[in-house]
Amino acid sequence: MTLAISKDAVQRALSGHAAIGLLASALLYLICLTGTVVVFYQEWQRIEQPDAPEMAAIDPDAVQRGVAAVLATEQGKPATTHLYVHMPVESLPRTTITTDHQAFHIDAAGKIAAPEENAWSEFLLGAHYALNIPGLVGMTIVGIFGVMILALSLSGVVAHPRIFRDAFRLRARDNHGVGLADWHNRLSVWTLPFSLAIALTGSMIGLGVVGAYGLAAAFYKDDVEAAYAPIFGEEHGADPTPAPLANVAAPLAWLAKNHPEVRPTYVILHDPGTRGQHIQLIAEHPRRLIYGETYQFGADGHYHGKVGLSDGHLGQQLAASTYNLHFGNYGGLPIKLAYILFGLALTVVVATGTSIWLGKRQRRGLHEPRLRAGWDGVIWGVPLALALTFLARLILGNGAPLIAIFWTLTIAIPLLAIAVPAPRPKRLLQYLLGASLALALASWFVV
Amino acid sequence: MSATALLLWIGTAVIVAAVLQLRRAWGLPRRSTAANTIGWTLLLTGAILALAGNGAWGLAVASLAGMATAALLLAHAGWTAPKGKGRASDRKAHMLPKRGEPRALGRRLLTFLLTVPLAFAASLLAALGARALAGMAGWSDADGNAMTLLLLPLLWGILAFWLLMLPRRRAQWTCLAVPATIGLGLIFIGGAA
Repeated sequence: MTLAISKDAVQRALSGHAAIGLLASALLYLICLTGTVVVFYQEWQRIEQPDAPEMAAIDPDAVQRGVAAVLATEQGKPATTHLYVHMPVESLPRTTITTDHQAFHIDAAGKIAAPEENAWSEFLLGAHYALNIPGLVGMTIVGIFGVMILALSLSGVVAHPRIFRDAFRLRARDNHGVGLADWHNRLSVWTLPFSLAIALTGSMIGLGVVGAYGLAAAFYKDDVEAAYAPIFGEEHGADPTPAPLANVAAPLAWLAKNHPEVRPTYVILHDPGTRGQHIQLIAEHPRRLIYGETYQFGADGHYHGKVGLSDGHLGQQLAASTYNLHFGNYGGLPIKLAYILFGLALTVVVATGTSIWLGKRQRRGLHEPRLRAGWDGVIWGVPLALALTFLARLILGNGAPLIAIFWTLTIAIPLLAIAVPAPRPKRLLQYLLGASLALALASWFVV
Repeated sequence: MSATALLLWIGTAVIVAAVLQLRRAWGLPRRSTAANTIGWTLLLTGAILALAGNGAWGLAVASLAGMATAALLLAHAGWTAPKGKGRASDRKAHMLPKRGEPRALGRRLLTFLLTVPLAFAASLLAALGARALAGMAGWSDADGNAMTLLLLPLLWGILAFWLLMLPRRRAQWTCLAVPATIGLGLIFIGGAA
């Protein structure tokens, strides 16, 4: 018995595949490329600020001293509502304290060492997460693109009846579009589990807030926090009455004693220096997809229980697993390298999709040099813009207007290519990309 | 080595073997149901072993190993492929009108509205309806809410694809109306705020 799909269905799937692909192609390409580069989010931070103090672990009392020292610098500023301590982990062995106003690295003794300078890493994460659009709009748009990858995967499989049968055939050296189509189809079929996982988790993250608003409107009297609370736990009520600083060291010591197998990644101090302050520890559990379990403590450091992300309801474990599964930080460097490889493959699939469509039109005698030049401007212009933005970060420093530089270049390069389509700009852009990467590397060694 | 780690290693090895078997099966001159079945069975067995060993984490790691094996086989195929003269497929996607044909902008805009905002609304209602049903069935709020967050993009992706597969507008409207109406009904029955 064979499962045959009718010719009509195949044709409709191809039309739908092309329609969604062309509609989404440029931004989808940008999201996939930045997503691939941001897999090394932690490593980029080390590259950006190589002289920040590093340590394999930090004493709980040193963390306490660090928190007090950072808060002491905020006298006269509006009170911080959330203070985060990033604990040293294998891929980012640094202790960094972030408040509502500033962020500092501290040394192993708990002394303030230097302000955190990771503008490039944050810009990159923002570009992937939300196209650098502030608020929830950007995240939602990126979530919609995740949905488009889902629809593209489904329509792509139906549109190519031989896609599995030919899954190991790669005529890489064929011209006239055969090689391009083979790259597109082979990479897409073998990265299908990865693409589906990335698309589904990405769209869950991106559309999460929209879904939560829907849940709040339907079941929680418009209270969005109440919709999240059963999964991630609830926020305690604030009491702004001044109080001595909470005991942050005790929870860390408690975790080391009672759960030596887990590793704290974040300390979150809510409403520090007030009677309403309380502490959450987020700790990584080995060989789990969840980003961590949240252990809760009072201001005096006494344990109050955990949220249940590690062993609570299945829904809690599922929701807590979306982030690591999406970003590939659940198994050290080998997993990250695999995500880079498959992320790059997904990026190539998106890039070649539009190129195949343009190639078919060209073979039918439709010469559209501006359209092709514009697509060259996207494919090679986006990585060029990324490389030049990184170069700007290295040369101009942490305060460089990275978002403005990146988006100006990303929009200007394709427009310029459309305006001056001959000679075809592909080769020039490739040379410029190579040169800017070499320059960035050289600058990193020098600066 | 712990028993769970051993299961993961065996599961990973079985998934790698499955990819190699599928490579062999799909390379045969004639289609062999038996060879294909062995490949898919190995794949399923490996996934179950990895899942039993280290849960979702184990499955994710073993899947990456399978995909990496396929990537190596593909790299070999690409590297050893002779320079060919084959003609690429010129199947038309029928995305844009042919010369002289009307642009049908209204029809295209309606298709966009159906597959993007309206399919989103229908998916949201269906996901919230499923949440209401889960509540009535005694599920915890955590499970119900997480299911809603999962279903929203999943249903939207499937619905957008399915709508594009339907040849008639009436069928597309029905495809949207059915999940939306059922979802809305369930929300009202299941205790809307």
